[in-house]
Amino acid sequence: MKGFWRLFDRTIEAMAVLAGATLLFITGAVCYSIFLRYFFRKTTIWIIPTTEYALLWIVFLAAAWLLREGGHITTDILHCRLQEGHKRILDMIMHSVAALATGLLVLLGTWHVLDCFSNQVTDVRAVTVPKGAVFLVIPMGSFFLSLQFFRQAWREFSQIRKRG
Amino acid sequence: MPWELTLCLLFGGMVALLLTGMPVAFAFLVVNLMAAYFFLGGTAGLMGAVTGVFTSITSFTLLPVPFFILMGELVFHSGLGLEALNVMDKWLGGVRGRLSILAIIMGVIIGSLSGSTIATCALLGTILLPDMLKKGYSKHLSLGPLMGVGTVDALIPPNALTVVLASLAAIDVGQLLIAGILPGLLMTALYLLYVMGWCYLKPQDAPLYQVQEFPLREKLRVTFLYLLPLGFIVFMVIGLIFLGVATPTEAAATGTLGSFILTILYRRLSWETTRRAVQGTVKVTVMIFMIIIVSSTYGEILAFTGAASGVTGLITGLRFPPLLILTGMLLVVLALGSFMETVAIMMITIPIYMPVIKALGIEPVWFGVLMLIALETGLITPPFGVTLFVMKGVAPPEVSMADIWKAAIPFVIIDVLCMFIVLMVPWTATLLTGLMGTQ
Repeated sequence: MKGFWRLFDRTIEAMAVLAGATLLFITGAVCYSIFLRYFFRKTTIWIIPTTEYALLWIVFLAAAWLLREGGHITTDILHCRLQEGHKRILDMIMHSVAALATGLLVLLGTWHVLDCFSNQVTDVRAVTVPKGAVFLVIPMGSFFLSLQFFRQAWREFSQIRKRG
Repeated sequence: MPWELTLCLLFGGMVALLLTGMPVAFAFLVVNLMAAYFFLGGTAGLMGAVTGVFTSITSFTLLPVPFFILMGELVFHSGLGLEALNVMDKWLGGVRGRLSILAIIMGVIIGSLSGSTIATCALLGTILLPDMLKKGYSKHLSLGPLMGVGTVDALIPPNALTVVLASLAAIDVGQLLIAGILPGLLMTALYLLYVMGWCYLKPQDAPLYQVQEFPLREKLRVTFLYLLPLGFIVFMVIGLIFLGVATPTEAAATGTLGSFILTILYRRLSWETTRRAVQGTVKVTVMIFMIIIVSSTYGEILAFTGAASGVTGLITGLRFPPLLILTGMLLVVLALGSFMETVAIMMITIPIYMPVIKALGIEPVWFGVLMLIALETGLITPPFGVTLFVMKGVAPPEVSMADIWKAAIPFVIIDVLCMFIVLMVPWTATLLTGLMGTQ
């Protein structure tokens, strides 16, 4: 299992790097469009929809990595007052619930992507793109999120079992 | 099901899950998926919730959020923020309470560049707090200004939180950014007055100490070298929006480009600086956007079940003056802010508040400014405001949580006073927006 989780870690890290690169790309792209418009009176119709889609990609590419890093904000006013054992049990339950919820996103998201591809659904903005290709990142990112939640739940379970 | 019960289930479920320590975004996800199943027609409702994710953030108006954050991260990690702090330090001379005053001024300057209350508090707390305590400043005068000034961050543009609020509440982003300037400056003035007044009444809380004097030539040199270029970046954002030359998204992108150019000119742009800035931006952006994404269905459920219209009907039917209703709404935000995260509060309250605001004919930009003050005040409101814990994290061990609470209270009162002034004198929020150029 260790090999699997090592591969998993490398994958979500690579996805986070891709998210960072996408962020730099959209910054450059918007600046480029402003430059073209003000100095050459040219418009670039692909930049706005691309940057809009990029926001969605950035989030789902980096969400699992951020979860591993403990970067998703929590409200721990009661949680931090619990005894260590109770805290672990609660964490295990909540991580399992979150793993199921994100798992549902994977299931429904995949269903929607397949539906989009089979019916050739397009997203019409300044440019028209196959919706499935853009939407794909939602089930993909949710899959890694679900696995990470499952991993965290399992870690808590192992700790509880170890302490008897 | 009666809308009152729906509202209680949604709100109660959310709060219960948040208290378990589940990340805010996923607490929203669980509640919304369950609500979508039960209220929006089973599997079809669930499908609607999932497809709603797609449209929730693929919006050009949300683009300034990562740009503003990246701009601030670059200024922090390149050390340019610290240089600005040193410049102001040289200008202040030997005035009593200088470190508290410096904290307020730098909070405004750095906060306007960073757009993150927590980051500003953490940075200033790390740099200034040890020095303040070493110089004999009371905990009250050391901790208070460092936490309080975070509230100003949300008002002085550029700020990522303002963009999120404007986007959720369908308020013009540019107008809301500009509208915050005057209330932000007013709040800063109130903070400075408080600190100077306290130093006058209790000089022992801020003892004078030997300060190295710098010749005017040196002060001007460092100002031109380190402070004015940062001011240029702020102008590239606020000025361009105000003059109507660029949209907020374009201004944010040019501001970010300006930060990159500046760090290159100062020879501070290294691989490590870029990596840390981008990593920090991705972290904060994903955290904020994930909450927006998963709670996109929340507003739809409130509308579909009649909860939003029920609350609107109930409130408008009370026949209370709109000002009183508005005050009540802000008090709810303040109360939530003492234990919840700002974006989560927005996601819960905005779908309920905006129909009421429209029904009462309240100016949305004015309301937006008041919301921002209330949201940010919540961050420093004891016992559980997030900034209080950030301060505890950066403070030395001898500073107790009780010290932090005591120090925060006067600044909470000042924030409430500022909110009251903006409430009573709406032009403080709308004056500048009336002078804006059109894009």
